[in-house]
Amino acid sequence: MLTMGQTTQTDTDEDVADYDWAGMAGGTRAAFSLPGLVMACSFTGFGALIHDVGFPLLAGVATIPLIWALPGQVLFVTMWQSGVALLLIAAAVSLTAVRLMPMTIGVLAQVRLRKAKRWPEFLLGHFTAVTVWVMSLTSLHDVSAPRQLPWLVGLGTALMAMMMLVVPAGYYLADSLPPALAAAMVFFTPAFFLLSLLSGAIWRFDYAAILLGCVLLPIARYYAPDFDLLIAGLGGGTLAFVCLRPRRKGLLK
Amino acid sequence: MTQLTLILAAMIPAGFVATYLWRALAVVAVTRIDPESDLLLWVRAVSTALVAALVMRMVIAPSGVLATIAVEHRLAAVAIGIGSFYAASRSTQIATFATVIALVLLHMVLG
Repeated sequence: MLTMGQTTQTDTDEDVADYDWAGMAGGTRAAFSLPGLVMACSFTGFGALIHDVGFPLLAGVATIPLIWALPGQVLFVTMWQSGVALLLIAAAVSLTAVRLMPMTIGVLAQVRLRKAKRWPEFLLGHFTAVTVWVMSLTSLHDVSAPRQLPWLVGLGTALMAMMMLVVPAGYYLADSLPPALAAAMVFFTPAFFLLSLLSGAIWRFDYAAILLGCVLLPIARYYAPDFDLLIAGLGGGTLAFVCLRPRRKGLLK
Repeated sequence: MTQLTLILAAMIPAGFVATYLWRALAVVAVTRIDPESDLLLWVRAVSTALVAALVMRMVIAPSGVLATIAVEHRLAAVAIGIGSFYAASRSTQIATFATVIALVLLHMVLG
């Protein structure tokens, strides 16, 4: 009898027909946290980076609402500044964004209501990137089901606004800081990327892909500087997948 | 102004569309696709390697102010960061700060 009661409870939870947008407030507050701080440091570094390569500040800020994934933003800025063809830029940006697809599926599978309208999922999809994904895994336990999606939208909106303020700060600080500290700010970005990759790695081929991407880059850069990222990414990733394709699945769900 | 307009015009297809495409596909696919299908696992490997390559390029061939720090110090800071990631029970936050602090210390102490 008790089990039946619990089943009914779960069913009513999943059958709620609409999201409770009051949940946005909690997500907004959660932006002021340690993951938010690390993200802000990385974006300060991004501000210093665009100053460094001579990319216009406003265009750099525009990458935040338009792309909202720092690897893609860094690629766009650095490839644009080295005069790479737009089609190659689009290909490289799109390839780094592919990792957002399983990430977004994972986030949505946790928080979507089956009977609700679909458009809020397209909205949350736009906000999904590594920090929102990590926090969806760690911070949603106390949030009721109809409030979870709005909670993440609130978090994403607040983080986006914060980062748009932080980038100009990094841009102008880059000029006035001693060179060693300005360099340290720029270094936040690659450090955060690499460690996020390690923390998201589950299978052996994830580690192999990280290692091969690092090792192949200098080689590809020597022979074909314009295509270095694409060669190291496609080559290293494919090699890792072919050699170490995972047999034991069911780890992403 | 014209340069800014040009970049923004380029950013819509090569930045926004190129990125949002995968998020929209995820929304469409969430009701039916298996996130551990071989195709998606291959895609995961390629994008992981691509971001790793991007990290490597920022470390070994930086433009601007980061180039004022010796390449051995940049590589050593990354190694220290990876070490502290495992020492601090896989904390991305702690290890990110450790990497950056290591870079500054290496540069100031060993110059």
